[in-house]
Formats: sequence, C-alpha cells, structure tokens
Amino acid sequence: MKITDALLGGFFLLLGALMLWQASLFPTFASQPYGAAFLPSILASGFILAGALLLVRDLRLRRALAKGDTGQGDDSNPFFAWNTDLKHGGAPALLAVLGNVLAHIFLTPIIGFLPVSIVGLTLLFLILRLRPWVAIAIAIATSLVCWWLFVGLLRVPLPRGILDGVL
Amino acid sequence: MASFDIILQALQLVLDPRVLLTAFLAGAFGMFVGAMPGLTATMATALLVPLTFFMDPIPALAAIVAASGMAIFAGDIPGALLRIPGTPASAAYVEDSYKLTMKGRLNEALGTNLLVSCIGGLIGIAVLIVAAPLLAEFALRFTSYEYFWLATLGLSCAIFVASSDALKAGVALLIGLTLATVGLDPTTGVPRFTFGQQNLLAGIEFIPAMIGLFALAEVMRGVIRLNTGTKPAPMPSNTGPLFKGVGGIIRRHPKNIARGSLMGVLIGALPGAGADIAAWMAYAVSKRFSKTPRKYGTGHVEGLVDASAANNAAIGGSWIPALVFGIPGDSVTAIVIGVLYMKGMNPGPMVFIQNPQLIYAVFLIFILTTLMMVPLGWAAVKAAKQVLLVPSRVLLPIVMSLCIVGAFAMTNSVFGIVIMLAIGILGWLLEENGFPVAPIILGLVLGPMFERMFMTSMIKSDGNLLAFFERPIAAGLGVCVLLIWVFSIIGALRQRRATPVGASE
Repeated sequence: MKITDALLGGFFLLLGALMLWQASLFPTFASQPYGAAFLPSILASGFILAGALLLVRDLRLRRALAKGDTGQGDDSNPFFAWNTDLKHGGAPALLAVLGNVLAHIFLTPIIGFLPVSIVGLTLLFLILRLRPWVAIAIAIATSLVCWWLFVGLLRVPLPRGILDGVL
Repeated sequence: MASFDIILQALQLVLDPRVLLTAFLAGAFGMFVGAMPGLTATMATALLVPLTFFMDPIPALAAIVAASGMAIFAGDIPGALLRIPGTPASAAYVEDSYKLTMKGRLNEALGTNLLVSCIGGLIGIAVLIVAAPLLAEFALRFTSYEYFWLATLGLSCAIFVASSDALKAGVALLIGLTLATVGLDPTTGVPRFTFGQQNLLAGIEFIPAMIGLFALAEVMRGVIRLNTGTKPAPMPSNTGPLFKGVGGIIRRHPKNIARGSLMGVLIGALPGAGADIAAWMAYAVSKRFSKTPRKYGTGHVEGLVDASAANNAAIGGSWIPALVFGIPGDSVTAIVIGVLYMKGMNPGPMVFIQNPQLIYAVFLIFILTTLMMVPLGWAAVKAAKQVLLVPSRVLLPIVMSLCIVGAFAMTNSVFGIVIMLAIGILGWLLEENGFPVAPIILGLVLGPMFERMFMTSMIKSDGNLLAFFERPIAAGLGVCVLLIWVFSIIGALRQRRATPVGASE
C-alpha cells in the first residue's frame, strides 16, 4: 500500500500534535522540573518537524513534476496506490495471514491453540494454492511440532480450549 | 588480559555438551534461514529468541551467535545459485558470484565465500577480544553525560550513515523512541500513552515487537508476492570438490581479506550499521583501489573476497559497542541486548569486572561457531539444491506459526500476539513506503537508556546544556554527534540545490 509522503507527513504532523497534547496532561511535580512529559514532548516536536519536512518535500516534488512537459508527473506519483502484487492475487493471501493472527488472538482462548492453528494454516495453504491433502498434512504437522516444542519442551501454557482433558 | 583461571572457567561454561548441541542446532537453523531468499539473519535471530528465553545465558548467547553468523554466510548460497541474495548482506556481490556460476565456477565462488567468511569472522572476533576489554576499562569512568552522547551517536548513525533517506530514517527512529516511552515513566512513575490498558503499564514487550517487525512483516510481504511470482530459473548443478582452487584465491588476495575484514569490523562497530552496509562499502572500496575495476560485476572474484570477509567481520565488530556500552551495533545485537537484559546480564563495562568468565565464554562461543561454519557451510552448499526447492508457499505459513507461538510465549498471553500484529502491520506499511525499519528497533532498545541518561544529566546539571560538554570524553563525543548532524544537514541542503527540484524555485 503506497501512500504519498505528503499524506504520511501530514499524519506524522498530526501525531506529533496529539502527543504534545497528551504529554501536556501528564501530572507534574513541583520539585522536579524535568518529568514524564519532557522526552515525549521533544519526540512530539520531532514528529511535527519531520512530518512538515516530508510534506513540504513531497509537495515541491509534485510541483516540479507538474511543471515537467511530459505531463505524466502526476500519474507517476499518485496520492495513494495499492501494491501491484496486492491487486494481482496477493490480497487474499495477505488477508489470510492477518486472519490467522486475529484468530489466534480472539479464538484460541475459547477453542484452543490446536484447532485454530490447524484450520487456519490449512486455509492459508489452500489460498497459496497447495494441493488439499498436502495443505492438511503440513498444517497438522506444523501445529503439532509447535505444540510439542512450546508446550511439551518449554512449558508455555498455550490454550487447550475444547481439547482440555484430552491432551 | 584475562587470567588463565577465568579462561578455564569460560571453557567449562562453553564446552558443556548442551551448549555445543544448542550452538550446532542453532547454526543449522541459521544456515537454513539465511539460505532461503526473503528470510534474513535478523529474522533467524528473532525467531530463535522465544526459545532462548527458556535457556541459561550461555546456551542462549551461543544459539544467537551461531545462528546469526551462519545466516550471513548462507545468504551467499542462493546468490550464487539463483542470483537472489539470501540476506541483504550478500546483495553487494550477487552479480559476481552468479556470473562465476554461469561460467561453471560455482564451487570456486561458494568455496571462496565460505573460507573467506570464516577468516573475516575470525578477524572480527580477534578485534572484539582485544578491543572490548580495553574499551570497557576506559568506559568504567563514564557518567550519564558520556552515555547520553554515546546513545545519541548510535541514534545519529542510524539516521545519517545507515540510510539513504535520512528524513524517513529519522521518523522511524522517532517511532521507536516513542514506543519506548509507553508505560511507566522511569523518573516519576507516571503512566504514559497506556490508554488505560493494564498490559501496557510495563511498556511494549520488546521481543513480540521485534518478531512483528522482522518476521511477521516479512511474511506479509512474502505471501502477497507468491501468487504473482514467476517460477525460479533452474539451478545449476554443483558437483565436485568445493574448495578446489580456493587456496590459490586466498593466497592471491591477502590484502583484500585484511582490508575487507578491517572495514567490516569498523562499520560493524559503528552503532546502527551492520553487515549489509559493511559488504556494500567493502565492495565499493575494493573496486576503487583495484587494478581491474572494469571486471567488477562480471564474475570477478576480487570484490567478492573483500565483501564476503567484511560482512562476517562486521558481526564481531557489532558486538563491541553492544557488550561494552549496551549500545547495539546492528539489529541482531539490538536483539542480543534485549536478551541480555532479560537474563539479568546488563551489558556494560561492569560485566567485564563482575562476570569476566561470561564475556570470555562469549568470545569462545564466537571462535567455536565461526570454525563450525566450515563443515556446516560445506553441508549446506551440498544440500542447497534440495533445500532451495522448499517452496516459499510452504515456508512462509510455518514462519507465521512460529511468530504467533513465539510472541505468545513471551507474555504467556495473547497480548504478545496483539503487540506483534500491531507492530508487524506498522513495519510492513512503513517499509512499503520507503521507511527503514531497523531504526525502530534501535530506538526501542536504546530508548530507555537514552531517556534515563538524558534525564539524569538534565537533573544533575539543573537544565544547563553546557554541562553536557564539561567532561573531556563527553565533549569529544558531543562534538562528534554535532559534526555528524551539521555535515549531514549541509550535505542534504547542497544536494537539494543541485537537483532540478530546487532549481525550479
């Protein structure tokens, strides 16, 4: 996802202003002149300055491109553009990866690590065009190895969920 | 120099079979990750860290040292076979090694890579062993002012030396430093930027953030290319002895090896710049001083020797500021510093006095794993054809699973996964738009130290900025930092005046 520097610069400018406002709300102590807000305020000023520079730099570049006689200046530098791979079939794969991570955040505490991992990985492999039986086999193997490594060897309490009592 | 007693203690720590086995397995893992295009040395380290969390300090460090060193060499393998560098550190000489392969000299290219990497690595370690204790003795007299300037020097290098777009690197650094301010303020204990979230009071967990930045973001970038990518070219075969003729090459280029290694160590030791930049600069210098600069990029072995030595020498170099000052030399040592803190081994000059056996154990591990590189590398080259056939569409989802489980393991809750996802998406978006991500991790690691030293200095001097220059070393470091800033800004302004954009005003 390509976003032009001018928009990003504007975003960082706003972020800096928000941080400055937030930092001004931090409690201060009379005996201590340099408190919790000191560094965040400096960083916020940095964001404002850097954001402004990005914005100005991009706008000047745009102006220079527009002045160019080719007339293509604006086309080659759109304000917002999707990554070409995302347009050509990459989007489902990306969404599947994000979906997998989100499922681990919201579903594993309820139904457990193994079912979420096996189903999620299988779907991801299928979207990546693996043959179904290969997808299922690798998904099961990967999930079991993760479980063995982290729960068996390292005693990490991955959620058991619906399999509680079975494992 | 250390007494015999301490070296003996260190030997006992390192020669434990469990440590050796860990180093071997981690080395094989690093070799594999480094050889797979798209998976970097930093990623190998990031994926290992959740495992090292459960180990004692020595095996944990052995695992990281072994994995990162092997990954830097292994990146050369797909460079020679497929013209795709396995890690960014191998990108500088990929043209030369691939063209050598095309001429039927694959074994010569990879054999040279392997042996020169090993020699470069050993030179880097030698400098580390000599320089670190000396610097540590010197650093014992440092106060908050010197540390403030050192941290600032590291952050400035990350902006101006290690990046082509200083403005974007600066924004990335600000993001890292801002993330480091989340949680309880170190001086007054006030919660900052926690938005009422209990989980954020302790700050942003470093390791899930790093897994998101270096592993999850890479998976995201990788999968969207999968369904559009073209089939890789068929791989040339590599039979016959790997090291045939390599001895001659090494004998003919001792100056290149020495020069590449020394440049590698120096650039590695510079905070914020690591093996990638070392390789590029060593290649450029080699070409500049070569008698046959025209041959570079056409399958010439000279630049390959310089740069292969440099990227492995940079590893030893990057540990110097990490061990002595707690300031990372590159993103791998940034991770190492995080691990050291978790193990209660706060890096800094005091470790050299209180626990010298640990430091010498690290040195021994370095020597051991670098020597281990030769047999492991030989096996990796021989197995490369099969290994590189493992398709990314199988590999990337497995890496994703390791990210998820690793992030969970660091907090024992899904909150680790939340951090990883948030930082991963941020890192992906930033990198898509030309922002380097290494400064983020540098800011996140150096942030707490930077703030502590800054606040201590400000409170001590009652806000008098001149106090930052009153001690001689602090003044010297401070002037260095100011010079970097002044020259970089003047350079940027001059460049802008030279470009048509400025001229049209």
